[in-house]
Order: sequence, then structure tokens, then C-alpha cells
Amino acid sequence: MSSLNTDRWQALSPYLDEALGMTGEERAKWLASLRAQDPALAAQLEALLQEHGALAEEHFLEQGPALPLRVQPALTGQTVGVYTLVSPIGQGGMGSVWLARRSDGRFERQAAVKFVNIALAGGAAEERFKREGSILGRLTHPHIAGLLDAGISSDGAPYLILEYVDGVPIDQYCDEHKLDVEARVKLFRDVLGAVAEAHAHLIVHRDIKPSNVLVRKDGQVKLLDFGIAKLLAREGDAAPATLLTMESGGALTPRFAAPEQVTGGTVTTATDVYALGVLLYLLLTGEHPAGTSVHSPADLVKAIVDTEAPRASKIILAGSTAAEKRNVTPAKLRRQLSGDLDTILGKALKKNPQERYASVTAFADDLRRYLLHEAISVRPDTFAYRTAKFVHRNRTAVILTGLAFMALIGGITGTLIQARTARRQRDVAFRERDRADRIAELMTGIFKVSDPSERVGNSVTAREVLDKASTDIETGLSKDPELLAHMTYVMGMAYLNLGLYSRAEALLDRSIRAANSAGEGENRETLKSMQKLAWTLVLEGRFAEAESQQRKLLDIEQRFLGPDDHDTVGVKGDFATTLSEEGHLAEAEKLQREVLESQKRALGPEASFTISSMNNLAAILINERRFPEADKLEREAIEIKLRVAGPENLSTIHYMQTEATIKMDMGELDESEKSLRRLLDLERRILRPNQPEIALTVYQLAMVAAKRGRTDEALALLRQAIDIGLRPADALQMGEDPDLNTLHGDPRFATLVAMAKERAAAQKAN
Amino acid sequence: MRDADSTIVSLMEGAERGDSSAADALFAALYAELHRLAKRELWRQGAVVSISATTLLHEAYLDISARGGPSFPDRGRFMGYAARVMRGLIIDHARSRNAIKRGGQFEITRLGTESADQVADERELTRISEAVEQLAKADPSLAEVVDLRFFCGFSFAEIAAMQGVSERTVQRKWEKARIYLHRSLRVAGSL
Repeated sequence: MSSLNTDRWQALSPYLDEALGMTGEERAKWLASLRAQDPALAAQLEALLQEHGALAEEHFLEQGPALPLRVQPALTGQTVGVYTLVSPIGQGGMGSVWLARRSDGRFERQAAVKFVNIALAGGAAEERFKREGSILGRLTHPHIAGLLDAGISSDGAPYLILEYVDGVPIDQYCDEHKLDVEARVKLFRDVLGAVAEAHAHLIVHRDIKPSNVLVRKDGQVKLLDFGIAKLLAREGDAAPATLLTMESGGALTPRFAAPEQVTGGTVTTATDVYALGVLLYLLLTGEHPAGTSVHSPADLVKAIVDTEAPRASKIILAGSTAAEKRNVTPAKLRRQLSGDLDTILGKALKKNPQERYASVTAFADDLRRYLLHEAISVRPDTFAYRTAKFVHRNRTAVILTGLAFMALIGGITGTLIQARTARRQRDVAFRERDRADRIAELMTGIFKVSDPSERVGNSVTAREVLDKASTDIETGLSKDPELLAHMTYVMGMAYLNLGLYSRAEALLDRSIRAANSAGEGENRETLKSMQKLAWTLVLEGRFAEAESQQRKLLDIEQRFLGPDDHDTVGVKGDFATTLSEEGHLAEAEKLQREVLESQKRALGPEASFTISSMNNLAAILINERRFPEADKLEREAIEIKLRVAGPENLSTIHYMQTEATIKMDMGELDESEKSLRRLLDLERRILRPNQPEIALTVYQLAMVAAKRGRTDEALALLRQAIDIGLRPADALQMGEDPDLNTLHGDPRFATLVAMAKERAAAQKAN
Repeated sequence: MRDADSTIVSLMEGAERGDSSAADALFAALYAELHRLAKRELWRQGAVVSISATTLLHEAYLDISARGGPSFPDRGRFMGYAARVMRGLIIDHARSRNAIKRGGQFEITRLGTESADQVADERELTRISEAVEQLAKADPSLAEVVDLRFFCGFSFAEIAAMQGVSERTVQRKWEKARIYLHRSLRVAGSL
């Protein structure tokens, strides 16, 4: 058999097309009739078709060679402008930073090259980036590390070239040298001088923190990254969401953020005054004004917005190590801080920007007077200013921030259904999934030691542990059906929370069977397994099966537990959701209202189950397209949640997202966009940078843009949502999302859909 | 680089008219573009990054179409060319795999594994590539499917969407291409 020349192939090709579309039997007949007409052709075709049959066994060309491309980090020696990269200094969400040496031979100079992890869409954005960079470049001051250049590498990566500073953070420097209070204040005045100079050029730092204030070996202070937060934010103004691609949420450091930064207010020079106040407080007391009890970003944000800092002198306790680092006794340090320094710090740290020092220079003047023992400009106030005033003035912002606090602790109980689409429906599962991940992580630790692959550096995934445990469980516990029922329930729930529905289904089913064989068929836990099994079917979209199971279960529970039992009501709520998904909206609404009433009676109007049911009812109303009613209910749910759960609950972010969708459906696009942007701001400051809630909010913004026919913006936002990391469920249905239908037919949209699917597949593979 | 971008449209048109120098220039421009995009990821992340060939092609399309404006050719045509270029890029990097690691060096591994012995054999890839070139003369649309599917990892559904044909059609093309390639590799490899 020889190779195929072009002519022969072209002659055979149409016959192959025909043959490949046939079943084996058809093909045999077809070949037989062909053989009668043209035996040579038939023989050739037959040989090729036989060869084709063997291909499948060989897996011929089934495994592509080239996924993925792996890029080595060896940038050392590459040049950027006139600089040659020497070694990496640091890496963060914002990008990587390299030590570089000037390479044009004219003079020796070191610099830091910062590659910025932002997407510059198009030439105009690049121009602006360079132009802003050159404005910052004109800012020169002995205590400011200058921006030498800003540009785009030949490979399209935006970079900044900064004066290289070999130093340590100011707080570390002060402690290492055991500087006393006076020396610290003097050093701090150099910082103020630098900031005042920048303010004179109308440049606000926005991100003053110890790691941006370095002190060199010779004792010289150098401020880093002046105006860079703004430089990057400017990009965001022009193409609002571009800033999002900075993965860290990077431009802002919450520990040193001013209240107006946290609440999305206007950033001015007063913002720097506040951050400088925090820095001075830290230098003098060794502690952050929000105290040491701050454990989560939510606590911190709460502290920034509404907790007045204790006076610096008050937090120096007997046995304070801070005093020792300041070369004094605690009692003496307390005396040094009380009086003028307390007053000065109080003035700088005012929640209301207008009540702070009017300028950095005024701040510096008071410190100068303090050092000279002159009377300072500020009268000690009574610290009676609590948050009332601030809250009054910034009500919306505070409420929004409150909502964001809620985002942090996701104590989710019961079944919470989000809204119209499956996208929101799946939130429940995903929310619990984080917790399941943590538990499984713990389990991983337990299993780790015995795993031989651990020694070669392979990590065991949570999933593997679960898989191993779920196979072991059957053999290990076969003699104890009761325990088997319990354990398979636990494992089934773990899979459910990980979104691995088919395994969850198998284990819950096993649990029910084990319980039955143990004679425990109708106890509460078994009924719970049955509820969860039916719920798994809902999450898989198998509504008809779920409906029939839930009907039976509801009947059993009503008889055994009574119609007002908590579990019965829970099943009824699940059932309402199923009906709503199947389009039986009137019945769904009726049941959901009964559930809500019963919960209001039994648990009270402010219980989390009750609020969750309000949200579920709103979701049904959305399906009924009764938007004003849904809107009213959802807003009520948000309001109660805010009041009772305190400001810490992830559900609220989801309620807010639903609320924005309702607004969208009501055609209030401006309103919807506004609240989404505020929500996004808060999410980005408070959640993990790649948390799927953030991606979903960006996605919702894309929906608004698409509805307005702003195609380019919608596409850019979708791309960001994909980069941030949509949930697989959201990513997979993007192509069919009716809210994006104005984008259909745009090849760029098709590309994004493909990218989203690819990411989703990669995520699943992990 | 910007000049090359703006001429990609006209180079594609030239290549389609059979202008071989336009085809060469198009290849070079796309090669540079893909290389640039892969490297851009490297600059940004400053660490080892994995990007798949498909992602790279998606990025290339979005970038070039953003610059090319409304006259930019459709995605199917673009991907057809770009996938061929990608094959070249993959083989070149397979070749230089053992060379001294310079900055921006790519390393090509199979999906889902880091193990070096599973790295596609460069000679094998070269032979496949030569057979694909031969196929491109006999039936260019089959060769394109091989580039998209085998070298770039697109699914049948994605290829079908790109080319505006049914998934069955793509599958049939793929099977025919496999028959052709198997035959020529078997002969060439004197099995």
C-alpha cells in the first residue's frame, strides 16, 4: 500500500464522505454494489475504511501535543527601555517587580521595574498611561522615590520604572533602631514634607503604608509608589472596569485606608492625611488604631468606618513591649503620648475628612510646635464625636458597607434560592462549598502522612480524600448500617457542597438504603437524607424526578412530623422552588407564601430562614415577572438582614445581586448599574480578589451594558468576569444567556464564550 | 508591530488570492503576535504561567480584531490561519526544548501532566506537520481541521461554530484527515 497522491485522494474523497456517514451494514451493501461497478475503487476504499477502523484502537492523533504552553520565568537579562532586568524583587497581585540596571552605558544606575497587571485596551489607553506616567515623573523630591518612566514593553506589558530604594519599612526601621518618640516624630515629619510636596502638585498618594515608606541605611526616608494608585485608577475612569484586572484589588491597602476610601467616597488630600495619622499612630504606639482584635477584613472595615480609635496614650499598658522599643518605660511613654500627641492624632484620624487637618502642612506644623513645646493649633476635643455624625452624613455609603460586612461570614442555613436563573440558584451549593473545602482541607491534613506521593511533593486534593473515604466507608462499615447511614450522609453532603452532584446522589441514596436496612427508615436523619437527595436532583436540573420525590417526602413528613414542623416546612420550601423551576408559578407562590407565614410564626420575622424564604418568594415573583412586588420584598429582606444579622453575612451580597437584577428587569438600568458598581467596589475591597461573587457582579454589569447596546463595554466586562473567575455554571451558560442576546452574532462574543468554557473545564479538571 | 497588525487583513486577502509572499508575511506576522502574547503573560505574571494554545489564539483574535476594526475578517478565517501558525510555533518550541533556557522560553507539555517523558516527541511532531502540509495541498480544509483540533485543542463544537458548519461535518473531515495522515505517516515511517 502506498501513500496517497493528491489526484487519487481527490477522487476518493467524495466516496469517503459518503461511507463515513453510514452504519456498518449500510456500508457493506454500498461497497458490494460499488464493487460491481468499479472493483479497483471499491478495493481502495475498503482498505482505507479498514485502516480507519484501526485508528480508534490506536488512539491515533487523539492526544494533542501542545496544551499548555509553559513559560519560564527567566526574564533576567531582558531589557525594558534602557534598563536590563537583574533579579526579581517582589511579586503581588498588581504585577511583578524587578531590580534593573541602566544598560545604555552612559551612567550606572539601579531602578525598580514594575510590570503592572492591567489590561490596556487599545492605543488610547496606552497613550494615557504613558502621559499620566510622565506627569508623575515630574514630581521630584529628596524623600520621594521618583517615577523614571512609564511605558509598554515590546510585548505589550505596561511597566513603570521607579527609583530603586534599598531600605526597610519605616516601622521596622524605628523599632530596630529603638528610636524614641521625639526621633520618630522627626523622621515622620520628613514623610509629611514629601507628601506636602506631592499635594502641591495635586498628586494624592492614596496608599500610604509602612511598606511604601522606606528608610535607607543612611536614615533617609523615601516614599514609594506616589500617585500610582491613581495612575492605575485613571484607566478605570475611562474604561470603568479596567481596574478590576488588578488581581489583588491591589491599589488600596485596607489596613491604611480612610473611611471615604472604604465607603466609596471622594479621595482627596485629606485621605492621605488620614493614612498618615494611621502611620504615626502605629509608629508611636506599635499598634494599628483599629486595635489588635481585628481578625477579618470585615472587622477592619467596620473599625475604619465607625469605631473611633482609642487615644494612643490609653493603649500603652504596663509591660508594653512598644515602650521598650521606644527606649522608655510604659508609664513614661503613656505620659509622652497623652496631651498634644493624642490630640494631633485624633485630629488626623477624624472619620469626616473635613474635620481632619486641612492640609499635610498644618499637620506638620502642629508636630513642629509639639517638638518645640509650643501650643498646637488643635484644641483637645472630648472624643465625643462618635459615628452618629458620620453615619448621618454618609448614610448610603455606610449601609452599603454594612452589606459588604455581611458578605464575610456566610452562615448559611436552610435552602436559599436566589433568583430567576439557574445561575443564582446554584449560589446555595457554592456557598456551602467553601466550607466543605475547608473541612476537606482538614481531612487532607489527616490523610497526608500516610500518602507516599506526599514525599515527592504531590499534594492530595480534598476531592481525592473524599473519594478515598467514600470507597473505604462501604467495606469498613458494612456491619454497622446505622453508622454507615450516618457517614454516607455526611460524605454525601460534602460532595453536594463541592458541587459534585452525581457522587452526592449515590451516597445519599446509599445512606437511605442503609437506614432502611437498620430499621431507621423514618427517623429524622433519614428524612433529611431524602430531602437532600431530592435537592441534589433540583441542582442537577432534574426537576420532574425531584418533584415526585418531594411530593412523597412532604406527605410522609406531614403525617409523621406534622405540618408545622421545621423540617416539613423546609421540604415545602424546596418543593416550591422545584415547582417554580418547572413553571408552575401560581402553585409555587402559594406554597412559598405558606412557608414564609409559618416561619414568621414559628421562628419570628427576622430569623435567617424567614429572610431566606422572603428572598425565595421574590425569586418566584421575578419568574412571574411581577417585578415591583419582587423589588419591594427583596429590599425588605435586605433591610432586615442588615439589621439583625449585623453587618456580617454573605447572603446579603447575593440578595443585593438579585436586587440589581430586578432593577434591570424593571428597566431601571441606571439604578441597576449604580448599585452594581457600588456593590463591586465593596466586594473588591472585602472579598478575596478571585471570589466568584465579584465575577458575577462584573458579569451583571456586562448585562446592563449589553442591554444598552454598549457592545464593546459589555465584551470588555465579560472578559474581566472570565479573568476574575466565573463559576463553571455561570461560565457554561454564558453563550445562551438571554440577557446577553444583543451580543449574539458578534464573533468576539463567541470567542469569549469559548474562553469561558475553557476556563470552566480547567476549573472542573482541578 | 502596530504596522504588521494593520496589514494582517490585507495579508490574509493576499494569501487567499494565492500570493505566496503575502502568505509568508502573514505567517510571520501571526507568529510574532502569538509569541508576543505568550510573552506578555510572562511579563505580567513574572512567574511560571501555563497558557493553552486555545487561550493564546482567543487572545490573539481579541487583540488583533480590536486593532483591526470593523473590516477585520471573520473569526473562522482568522483561526484557520492562526492555527497553522500555532503548529509552527509549537514545533519550533519542541525543537528548542532542550536548548539553553533563555528568557521567554516556552516549554510544551501535554495537558494534565508535568512529566517530561510525556512531552510530545519533536521528531514525531515534525513528521505529523509534514504530513499535514502534504494534506493541505490535497484538501486544505481537512488540514485546517487538524491544525485546530490536534495542534490547538479546539473541540469539534468550537470548530463547527467558527466555520459555520455542522459538528458532524467537522467530525467527518477529521476522520478523513486521520485516514489520510495515518496512511502517509505509515508509509513515511516504513512501518
